Amino acid sequence: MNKYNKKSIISSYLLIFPFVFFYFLFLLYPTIYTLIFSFTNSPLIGWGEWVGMENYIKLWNDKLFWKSLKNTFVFVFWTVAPNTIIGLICALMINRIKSYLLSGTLLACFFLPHILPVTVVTEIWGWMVSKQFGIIQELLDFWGFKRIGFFSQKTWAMPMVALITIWWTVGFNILLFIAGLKNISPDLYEASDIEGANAFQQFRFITWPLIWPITALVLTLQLIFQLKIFDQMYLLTGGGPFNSTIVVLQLVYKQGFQLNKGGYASAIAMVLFAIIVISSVFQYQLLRNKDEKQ
Amino acid sequence: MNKKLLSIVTGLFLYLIPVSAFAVTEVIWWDFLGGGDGVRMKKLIESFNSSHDDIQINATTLEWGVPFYVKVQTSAAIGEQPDMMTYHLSRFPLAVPTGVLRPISKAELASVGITKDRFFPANWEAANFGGATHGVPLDIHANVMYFNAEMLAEAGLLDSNGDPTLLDGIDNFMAGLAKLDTMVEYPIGFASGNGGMIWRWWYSILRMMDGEFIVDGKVCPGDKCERATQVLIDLVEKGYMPSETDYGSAKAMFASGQSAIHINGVWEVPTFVDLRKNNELGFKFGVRDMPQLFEKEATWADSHAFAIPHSDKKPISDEKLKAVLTVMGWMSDNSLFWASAGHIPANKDIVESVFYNNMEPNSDYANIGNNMVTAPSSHVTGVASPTYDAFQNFIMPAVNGQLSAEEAVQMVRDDVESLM
Repeated sequence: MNKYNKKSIISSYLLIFPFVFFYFLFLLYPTIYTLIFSFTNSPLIGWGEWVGMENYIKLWNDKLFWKSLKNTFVFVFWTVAPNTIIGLICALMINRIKSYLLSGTLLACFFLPHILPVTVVTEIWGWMVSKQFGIIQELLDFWGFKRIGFFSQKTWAMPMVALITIWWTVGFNILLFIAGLKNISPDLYEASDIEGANAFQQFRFITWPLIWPITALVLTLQLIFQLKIFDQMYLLTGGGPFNSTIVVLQLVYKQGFQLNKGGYASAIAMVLFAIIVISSVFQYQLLRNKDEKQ
Repeated sequence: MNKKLLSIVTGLFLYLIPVSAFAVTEVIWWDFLGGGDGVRMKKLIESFNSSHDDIQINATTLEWGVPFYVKVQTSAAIGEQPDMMTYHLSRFPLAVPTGVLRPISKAELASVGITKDRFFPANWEAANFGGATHGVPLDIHANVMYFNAEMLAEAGLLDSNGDPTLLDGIDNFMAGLAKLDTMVEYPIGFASGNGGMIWRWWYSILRMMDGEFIVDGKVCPGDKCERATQVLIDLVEKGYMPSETDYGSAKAMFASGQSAIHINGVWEVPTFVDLRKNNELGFKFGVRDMPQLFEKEATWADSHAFAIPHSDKKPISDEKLKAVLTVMGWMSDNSLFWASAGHIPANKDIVESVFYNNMEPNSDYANIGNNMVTAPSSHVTGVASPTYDAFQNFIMPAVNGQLSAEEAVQMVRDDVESLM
């Protein structure tokens, strides 16, 4: 106990104070308010009457909510694993490059989209796939395919938004993976070289197990990010065609901001909050256990 | 060195002196007017500012549609609202119940010469939704048909007066398009991927059939909605207009001569007028009322109005109110210039003036005042309403061949009725 004197206790509290203060002010306080809101029939602005579980019962019977939940998970399917795998592959390739200049340039290229705001990303892609003037349509013409309305056709809309999301965010995953790869001691590879291990064996028995903690982290972060999908859908498809890309947060936006139903929107937001907490904790535990077994 | 420092300090000091020290009232103004519209409104604001020493408008243009209206509502909730703003009359039924519009009394309006008898009755009625005046109408804007006069002449679709001959009846229209189809890939440049644009043309067609969108709480009674949808489906299917086309592309197709006809709102008139003036439009263009495909003449229309946002937290001060009313009165009196943005002024005195009647191309579609149809007065219709969403979501895919007219209209019924 006497390891910590009074002075260091005070200074440590002082040091964490700013974080705790802002955490309460901007995270916990609004979250608690949203929870209380979700039991009322409030409009977007101001208070309503207490209605108990009514919003949650309504939610249970709302077909559009279930559809948006399904769409959100379809989006997760299209993005989480692919984004992680592509990130790992790119990182492995960049890591093998001996020239600092080349690897640095490549890394910058991959990371560049990540620093763009979402509106710029969607605008760029909107023009690239524009049915009349898009460069991708010209390529389709050249290869003899029919032009495709990428954001207005049911089969294409969701995968296309996923593709753009991967293009936009994969740079961050590459960065995390490269940091992980750099941490693996070169001695291990040298030793295995002497023992005559081939490149695949090196990956399977050295790289993969040692990079697994990073992979688990990336997968979990990805799951949380992608469950919160809103911007790209709102800007590119608007939830259409016929609600085939409407996601949970978009339903929150629609109910809250367009239809002025703050209470109901809060209830949907709380359910999504619960889903994200449960699934990310569950996923992280699952992945961590696997790591420990190995 | 010291002199430089001094000048910076003095500059800062001058900057910090509040504007009110010179007895100038600043009016914070928000609008959603982009494109040629926005250019003209900025000119109007400039000439107001230069002709008034005591009032200065400080204008900001924000994103049109839901983002604008949400921002107005949230800013009013915390007392950070502008002093005045533009607002669509079709949205008053959504806005008035939320209390975001401050009622303007008869006496307040009369103080700057704004009286009921100076406006078109339908407009004034819409501005008085909820039993009080909640805004001052500025204009009427409607859908029109733009055409490439040279292309239509070449196809033999212009009469001796230079009027298009394909405007009468659907068979005649389709026959005209068939002729144009041999000259260009798509006779009509239309934003078939934009739900709002589809709604405007679709609603015009529905009303030409004497159909209604909402009757006694029922959406799309009968089969006229399906028939109106089918017209647009056919146009895409026959290759007369491109599928899944965004707003900008549709405009570009017409401007670059890739299509002969363009269906859009009057607000694009200044765009094409300016292009022509700068010799950037390689052909003579004309503007007419929408092609009358069925029994009645009809064209979708809406109105921009000026309104004062209401905030419980920080209601507008008497000084600001006086200034805002002055701006509203001045804008109404000077709305002839606003007509050069393609719109029809809401102020009858202006419309009846000689100047307006000689204005090109506005006088070519002056008939709109008589055949305009506005969205049904309801909290589910109007600009950026659930109906706009439903059209993007359901009718747009139908027009582009992904759903049948029956399926799509049924989806609209279910969706919009569930919100009523």
